[in-house]
Amino acid sequence: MRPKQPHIDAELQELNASLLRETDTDMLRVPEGYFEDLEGVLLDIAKPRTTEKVLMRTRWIGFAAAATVVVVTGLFLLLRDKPEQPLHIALANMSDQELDDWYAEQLSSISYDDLYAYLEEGIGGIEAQDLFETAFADSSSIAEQLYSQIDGQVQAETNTQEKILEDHYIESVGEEAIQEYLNEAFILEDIGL
Amino acid sequence: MTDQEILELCLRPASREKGYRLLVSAYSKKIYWHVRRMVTDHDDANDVVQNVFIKIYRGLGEFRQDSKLYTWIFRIASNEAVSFIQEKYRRSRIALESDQAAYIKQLQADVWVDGNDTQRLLQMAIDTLPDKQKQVFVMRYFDELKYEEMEEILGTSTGALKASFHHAVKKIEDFLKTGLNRS
Repeated sequence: MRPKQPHIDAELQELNASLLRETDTDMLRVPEGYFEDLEGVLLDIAKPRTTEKVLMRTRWIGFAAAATVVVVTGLFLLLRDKPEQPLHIALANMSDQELDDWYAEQLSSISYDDLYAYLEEGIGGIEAQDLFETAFADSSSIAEQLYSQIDGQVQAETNTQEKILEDHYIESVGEEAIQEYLNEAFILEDIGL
Repeated sequence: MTDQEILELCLRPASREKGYRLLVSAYSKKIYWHVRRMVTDHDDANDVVQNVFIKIYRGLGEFRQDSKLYTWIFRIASNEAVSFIQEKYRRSRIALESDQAAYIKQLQADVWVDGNDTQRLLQMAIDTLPDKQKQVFVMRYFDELKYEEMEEILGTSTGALKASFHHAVKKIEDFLKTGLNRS
């Protein structure tokens, strides 16, 4: 039976706790040298201050790095003109009018010479008209405008070529040849051809 | 060295480590046994004791000295042990009363528990006590604290503590009688 302080033993006697008093309670054991090891472990609790400082410093650096990223990202987003967006998303978000304007803006930056040169290359045999119709399927007003501009340019150039040819041809043909041509024409007319 | 001297060393940053070393030397064994009586298992007690001293070390700087050092330490230890028991039993849902044989078997398998079946029965009787009665019983019977000291640790009047202790003793006696009659 484990020795008890007299006042506790007296109290148990008062309570008539004979079984409890007679039962040896020292049945719990610990590994050999446990308390020496335990003291070492418990003293290590005071040492982690260094670790704690390192952890705190690591955490501080981590927080600072995170804060820097946030600030830089925030400034970048604030200072740049527009948020960069993929072209197809930007186009998808445009109204019809905005889309027309965008196409017009893009096309106006291309010279007609470049446009012709590009189309004349044939692009795998695709006709210029098909190309235009495909490219501007949803923007007929721009396509029409381009057609008219291109047609006008072509017409002007054709006229110029005809004028040059005409002038050159007329200059190169003599009066005799003209007279001969006219006579033949009258004869053919007379015989009904 | 007195508790007051240890405390003074602990409160000064320059001597804090020395004070803590003395505190560990003075209390580690007492606290271990208090916790061990509460939780029974050695490995559990080992874990709880480490948590207790972590709390002690961290709390030393804020210790107000409105209670004695040892009552403050015992309060931390006892509360930590009760929290552990509640958490453990909540997880395992062990119904001690309904499975006495299994409990005895469990103690028999524990390499850090010696003794005969009567002693194991006593340990089981202690384990079946409600938390508060268990705290009071362990402090009074094993730690041999005075009621005045327990009053300060647990914040309960001496009268209520005596009543708890007497109830605990009665329950243990009944448990032992029943258990021994069965065997």
